[in-house]
Amino acid sequence: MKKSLRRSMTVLHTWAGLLLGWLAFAMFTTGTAAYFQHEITRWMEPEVAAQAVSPLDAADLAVSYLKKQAPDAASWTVQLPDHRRVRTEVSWRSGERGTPRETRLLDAAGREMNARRTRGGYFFYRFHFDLHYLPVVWARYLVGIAAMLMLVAILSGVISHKKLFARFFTLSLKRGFSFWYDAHNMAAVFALPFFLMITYTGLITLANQYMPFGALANFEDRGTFFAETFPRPRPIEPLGKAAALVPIVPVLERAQAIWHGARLESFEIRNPGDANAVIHVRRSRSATVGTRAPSLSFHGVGGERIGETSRQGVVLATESALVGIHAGRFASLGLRWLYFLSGLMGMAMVGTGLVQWTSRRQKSVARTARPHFGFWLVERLNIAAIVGLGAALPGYFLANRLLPLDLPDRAEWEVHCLFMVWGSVTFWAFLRPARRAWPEALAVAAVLYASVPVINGLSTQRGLWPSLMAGDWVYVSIDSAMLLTALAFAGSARAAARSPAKAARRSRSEQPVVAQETGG
Amino acid sequence: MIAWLTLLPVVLGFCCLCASMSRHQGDLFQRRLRRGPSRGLRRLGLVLLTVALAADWVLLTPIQGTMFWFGHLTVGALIAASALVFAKRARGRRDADSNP
Repeated sequence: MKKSLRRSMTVLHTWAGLLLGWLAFAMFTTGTAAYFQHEITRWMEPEVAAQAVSPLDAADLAVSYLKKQAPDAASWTVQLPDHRRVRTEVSWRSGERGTPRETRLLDAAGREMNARRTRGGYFFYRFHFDLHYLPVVWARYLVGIAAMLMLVAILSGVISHKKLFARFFTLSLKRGFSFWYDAHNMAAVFALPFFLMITYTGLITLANQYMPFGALANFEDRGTFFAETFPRPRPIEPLGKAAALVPIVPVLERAQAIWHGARLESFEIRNPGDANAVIHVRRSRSATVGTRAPSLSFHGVGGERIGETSRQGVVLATESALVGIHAGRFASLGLRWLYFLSGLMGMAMVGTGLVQWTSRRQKSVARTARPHFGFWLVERLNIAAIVGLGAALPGYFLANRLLPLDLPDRAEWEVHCLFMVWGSVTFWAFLRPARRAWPEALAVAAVLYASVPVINGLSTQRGLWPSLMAGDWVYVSIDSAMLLTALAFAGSARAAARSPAKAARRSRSEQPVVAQETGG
Repeated sequence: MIAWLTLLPVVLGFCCLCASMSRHQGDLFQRRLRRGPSRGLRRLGLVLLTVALAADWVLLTPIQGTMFWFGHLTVGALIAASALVFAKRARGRRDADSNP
């Protein structure tokens, strides 16, 4: 009984891990990068100088800017700077929700900055659950299935691995299946609590889409459910009578005092310049573990508090905490690095698992004249997913530095470049024999990673050395990470190029013995 | 920053757990330890991991502390496993040198 359960779990583990393993790898990779999304955005906007400005001063300057720039707008929104975001983002709409929004970036002195258009690290954040070039709803269903399969694979893996803890520290140094088996086991066990947390909470994040039945049974439709569960400030009609806006700083100080000094994330002013102006202030989502931040509303002329939106109840608080633990917005720098490291372990777990699948079947395939189509496909998809995405990431960073600044839809073209590199590596993987495609693709990825700090140094004033001298640790960290990743890819390319040669030598040396045994 | 101090007991704890496993004792001590010392190392390892958790809770909030502790477990296990791989390699090289 025990044996058959373990065997069933092994089969489940293999197929649950393989079926959408490539998508899970992409989700882990981009999700891991998203833990530093604001830092990546900073690197991708080299025009934005890191100048310290207090959020309250920034708010004052932003309102002065908006009064001049968009006096007739229906609403103004200001995203305040914090310890991770160094610039103030202001935006305005001429009509209600749904009308296009104009966005500008302001520096510490409240002047408009002419930063290059980029989606920055936010692209990685969105991609890990929305994907790209796909309708969002379908992408989220696909991502949900992949996350569910990953959760099944993790649980069945724990049950099926007989020596999961006995082989805890064991890493075979021999090339081939035993190495991949141990590496997969190690990566999976070392960050097991993180993997269980991240897959489960990831599913919780989009649970309303995956399981809408509870909401539909109790509410008229999903719109009503969302309006009641996640309340937004109600729109207020303008009176059409001009009135001066209350000074913003005392309003924000009051909000901060109500939230016991917690950081503020943003504020929105509806009907600015009208007697019916309203200021909605939102608390920072990094202030607590829970990700749903409350907001306070103040009258825009009198300055008195007129309302608040916060969610009540244990269930909603639990949901907020689970999503918060997944997103890690509350994490300090040290904890953020631990999240990042655990994410890397997740990539290693999925990647080694995928390679292990082909490695296990390598010997039996070698005996046949032509490999099975499934084996051939998995081998190519492994290269496409693992190295292809690996090479595509520096492609995105390079596009940020190399695309003309005045290119229309520049931000979208950076993303296109990422997919062009990914597509090229995939095409290459399907064109070449796998034993050659692995080292070649890995070498290309190594060159791309190494090019990022070089091109950054040549195209901006914020290369590795000047950043080091200026103490700009975001630039230093990202450039150094690129160099380290280049070294890792170069080492892997060398190892991958050596292993088929070694195998060929081994098979040549074994041939006479086989011939003797068979009487040849 | 102070929370990183608790990485030390985690690394030591994992080193003790690793040394308590008969599979690795040959690589580390060139012989198998008796049952008593092995059990002692295992207990010491578990105590050190628990001490790290308690320290994380005291230094941070219980939620942040627990999150840090799990992260430290990952880093600590990686360090211990890497050290074992290096020890194994070094021993392999030494053996190859002494028996050319």
